[in-house]
Amino acid sequence: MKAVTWQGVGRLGVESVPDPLLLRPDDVIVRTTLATVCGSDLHIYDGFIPTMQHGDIIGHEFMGEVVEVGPEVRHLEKGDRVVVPAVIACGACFFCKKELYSLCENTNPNAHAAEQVYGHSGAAIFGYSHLFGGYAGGFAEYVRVPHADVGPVKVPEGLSDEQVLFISDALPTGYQAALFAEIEPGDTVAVWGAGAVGLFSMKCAWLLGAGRVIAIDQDEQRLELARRHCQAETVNFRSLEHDGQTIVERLRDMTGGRGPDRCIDAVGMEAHGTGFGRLYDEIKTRLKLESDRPFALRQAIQACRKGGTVSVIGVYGGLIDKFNIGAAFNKGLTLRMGQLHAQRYVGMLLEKVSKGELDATFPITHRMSLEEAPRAFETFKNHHDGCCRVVLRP
Amino acid sequence: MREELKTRESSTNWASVASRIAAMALVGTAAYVLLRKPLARANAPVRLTRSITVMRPREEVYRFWRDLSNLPRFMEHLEKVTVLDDKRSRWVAKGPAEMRLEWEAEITQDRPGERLAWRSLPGSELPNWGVVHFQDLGPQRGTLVQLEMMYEPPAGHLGVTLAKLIGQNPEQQVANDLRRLQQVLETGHAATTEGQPVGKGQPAEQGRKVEGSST
Ligand SMILES: NC(=O)c1ccc[n+]([C@@H]2O[C@H](COP(=O)([O-])OP(=O)(O)OC[C@H]3O[C@@H](n4cnc5c(N)ncnc54)[C@H](O)[C@@H]3O)[C@@H](O)[C@H]2O)c1
Ligand SMILES: [Zn+2]
Ligand SMILES: [Zn+2]
Repeated sequence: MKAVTWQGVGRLGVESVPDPLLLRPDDVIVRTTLATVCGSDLHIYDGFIPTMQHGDIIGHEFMGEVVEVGPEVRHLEKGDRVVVPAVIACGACFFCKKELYSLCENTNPNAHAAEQVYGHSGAAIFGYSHLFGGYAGGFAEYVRVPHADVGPVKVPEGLSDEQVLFISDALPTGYQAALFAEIEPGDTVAVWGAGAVGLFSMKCAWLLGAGRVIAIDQDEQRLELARRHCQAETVNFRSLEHDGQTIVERLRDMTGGRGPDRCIDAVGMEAHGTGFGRLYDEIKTRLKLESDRPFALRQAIQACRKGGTVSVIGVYGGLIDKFNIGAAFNKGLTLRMGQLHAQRYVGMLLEKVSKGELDATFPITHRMSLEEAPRAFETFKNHHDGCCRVVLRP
Repeated sequence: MREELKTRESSTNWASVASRIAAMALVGTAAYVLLRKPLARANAPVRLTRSITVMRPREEVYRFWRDLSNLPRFMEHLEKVTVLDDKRSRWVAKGPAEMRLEWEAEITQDRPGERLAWRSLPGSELPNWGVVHFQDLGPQRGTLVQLEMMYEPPAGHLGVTLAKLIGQNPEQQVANDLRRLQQVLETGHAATTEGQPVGKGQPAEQGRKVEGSST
């Protein structure tokens, strides 16, 4: 089959590899019908996620048709159309029983490595480095999906692939971001990052009772999506810089001096910075003295109103510098974060999509074939041609 | 293909992976160096302890372990344990290049549901003993499994075989074995990626070219 492989920083291969096999009796094989490049894939592409090996098949946001079924699978049959959550969870461990699926203890065969780095290991993620299990990912014609009764959700007839694809990752991630923000009715919610994840967290913030939503990014086309599809007020931090105002100041002005009640970091470790902080973190990450660049996170903490919540859904992988713990502490903030517990939200989100209560197609700006993955990554990474999300069809 | 994958997986040096990750920040590197335990000296008895929490009833966990023929399902280096009678069993451990270590063991203590101890019989190629405790942690908290093991690495040729067998990090080996026990009991199978497709560049380039390395 054809698959997209990691071949070093900024390099991808499109190659022929053997088809996947059922390796455990509760596996299924899915024939991929649609996949998308996520911001997390950029962290891999840019070399921010360690333990990638040349030849690893990448991709974690995908869907398809079940073509082979292990003997212990009870809920899926050949021919079912499914969306596959990015996170692989067993459904039986202490954490899965608490619906903390991304903390599953039983799916990462390299748990000892994650333990050395993080103290404990979380769940495996498709196509997301050996630290996260080393599972072959979804940018391939076929994918082996373990614990098939726990993850994949069947797609009802009448819904197109594009309508449900993001239920694999970006949509539940956005939902979790809004949920973790602990929104109370009428709250002002500020979201850093207007990529698909940020956009979906804006939509979900409304669902959870927000009174106002503010989007922060530097990409005017994405901010336009935020205005048009997420009823967000927008702040372009690049043009703010020209006005000589900081984001913290602008948000304070926009919220009667208080600051947003809830702040969501949907940017993560590769944030673009401004001013002195940018130079500082760029030098430090280049010298490997720091692994992540936390601009958005620092700003969210600084801007958040006292007693508010900062929900971190953008990915961090290692260590950060100049973490404004003093601001967080003295303002009595709550910080919540984590990989997405996909399995917990997929059913509910699929229902909302199928009832037409939630449109999850609007971030799609580009459609390409699997072979075009290298171009898709460049287009997505550089926001070429108004790109917000590319979908890949094998 | 499968053979190649196996070599690749087992040749992954996680200590070096961890150090590479740690090397992404000086602080991390320092912590790594501090935390790294010295390797056990050859021939000194090796004592290992580790515990894990399994979300299955204590009786069930005990029964699974009490049937010693189940041990190879989660102890990676055991090829086979044959139960000879109520007390005695024959153990076969596998090593690189078809090497085998064999011994007979007896159960020295059996408190059903609570505690199980065994030791190898005199004349063993690998003198060893072990004890495992099982304890309830309360509703929805699972069963605590505490394992203590000791073995005396033989001298000379066999010692070398054994070192290869167990690798340089026996603590990690025991931790992984218990993790697999948990996986088998909670989900029916240990997690694996062995045998999955992989593209070009492995294993030849592995170890030479991992990005994020900072040497
Ligand atoms: N927690 C999870 O489980 C999970 C799941 C999926 C994605 N993610 C993470 O969510 C983040 C967003 O994903 P995405 O697919 O939307 O990525 P994306 O790259 O499309 O979007 C990121 C956006 O952030 C903007 N940005 C950069 N620096 C900024 C700054 N300083 N302030 C404000 N905006 C800034 C960029 O212009 C871009 O529009 C990524 O870090 C991704 O890894 C996390
Ligand atoms: Zn993702
Ligand atoms: Zn689990």
